[in-house]
Amino acid sequence: MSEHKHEQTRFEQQLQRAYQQSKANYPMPKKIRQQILQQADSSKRFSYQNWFRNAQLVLGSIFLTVLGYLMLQPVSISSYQIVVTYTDNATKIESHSLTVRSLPAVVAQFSVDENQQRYQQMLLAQHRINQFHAELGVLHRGQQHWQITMCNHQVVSIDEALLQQLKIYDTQLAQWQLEQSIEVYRGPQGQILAIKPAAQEQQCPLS
Amino acid sequence: MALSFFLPARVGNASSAESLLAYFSRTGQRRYLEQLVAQCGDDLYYFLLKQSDEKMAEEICQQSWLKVLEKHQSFQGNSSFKTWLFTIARNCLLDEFRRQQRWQLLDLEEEVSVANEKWHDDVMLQISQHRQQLLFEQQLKLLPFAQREALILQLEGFSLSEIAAITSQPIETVKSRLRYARQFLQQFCGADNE
Repeated sequence: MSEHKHEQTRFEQQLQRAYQQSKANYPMPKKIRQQILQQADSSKRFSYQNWFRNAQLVLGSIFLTVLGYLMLQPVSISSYQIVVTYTDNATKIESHSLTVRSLPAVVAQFSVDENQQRYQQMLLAQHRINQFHAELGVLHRGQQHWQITMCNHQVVSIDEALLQQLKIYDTQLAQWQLEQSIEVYRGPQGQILAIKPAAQEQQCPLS
Repeated sequence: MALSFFLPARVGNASSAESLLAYFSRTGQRRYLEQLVAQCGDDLYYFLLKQSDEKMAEEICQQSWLKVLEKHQSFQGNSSFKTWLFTIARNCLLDEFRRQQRWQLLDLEEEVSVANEKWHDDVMLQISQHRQQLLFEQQLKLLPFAQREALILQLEGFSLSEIAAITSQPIETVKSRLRYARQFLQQFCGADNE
């Protein structure tokens, strides 16, 4: 058994030696070696494949950078908020305010809520204000907020930011009287679209 | 292996074929390719020479290295560079055989053992007549293509799994081819030693 193993080892050694000797007798011809290196030189000079790949890489990187920049670019999101409260004597008070948040564009895409929609709707509706009916009210100037007392005694409070966004006709707010009678235009979701000084003859009926 | 391909400067031997290819891919400097050809060129040429003839070996050798130059960026490092190179070369060789219609399945597959027996009688006769002239190359030439291929690859240092990868055959088939090849050569060796 061990003799067989020994013989086998000897055979393997012979085989390996013969193989190495034989291989040494047949090296790769020099001309082939030179041709390979020449091909390498010529392909290095200008390789369309490399150029195309590099161009793709550069363009891809630029595209991703621009896309990333645009997606992360902060955008201002305005929301129109209405909060309803009641006083002790059951008077309804609506507080209308405008808030502005700054969000990355990609986040803003997925964070559309009712208040944002209400704001967008307000902007659109301001272009076709004559489609909406006006209600009468009286505008008071408070310390921090403006207040409109509607003819039905409902109170609507408006913050300064929202007031700047409302469509105000012809006159400037500073010229308005302390208790100015106004026409209030409301949108489909109850948002105020515009206010306008009421004509002399338009007054709340005496109750 | 894969790591040493991607980080050649930090990991592995700087002169390994994989590192040289990585350096060549990165810098395009000719000297790395020269070293690569010096390391693997003779081995590949010998393999091709024994599987074909001088003219075809030269042609396929050149073709194979050209493919390396074209595709070096796509080398993933999943196998050794040498395994990759030999796989490319073998595919080029088989394509050329097919093109020249020199490829016969009989030569490749399992009927080699039957062929061996027939050849054995003829060759034994030759041995008795020209025993002194019998050289390793001639014995090798008498082996069927697939057995010779497996044997040369193993003598070249490839593992069974690497040979299986290069030849696209299961390991068991490779083992079987190697066994037949050895039996065949051993017969001559014994006869030669008598």
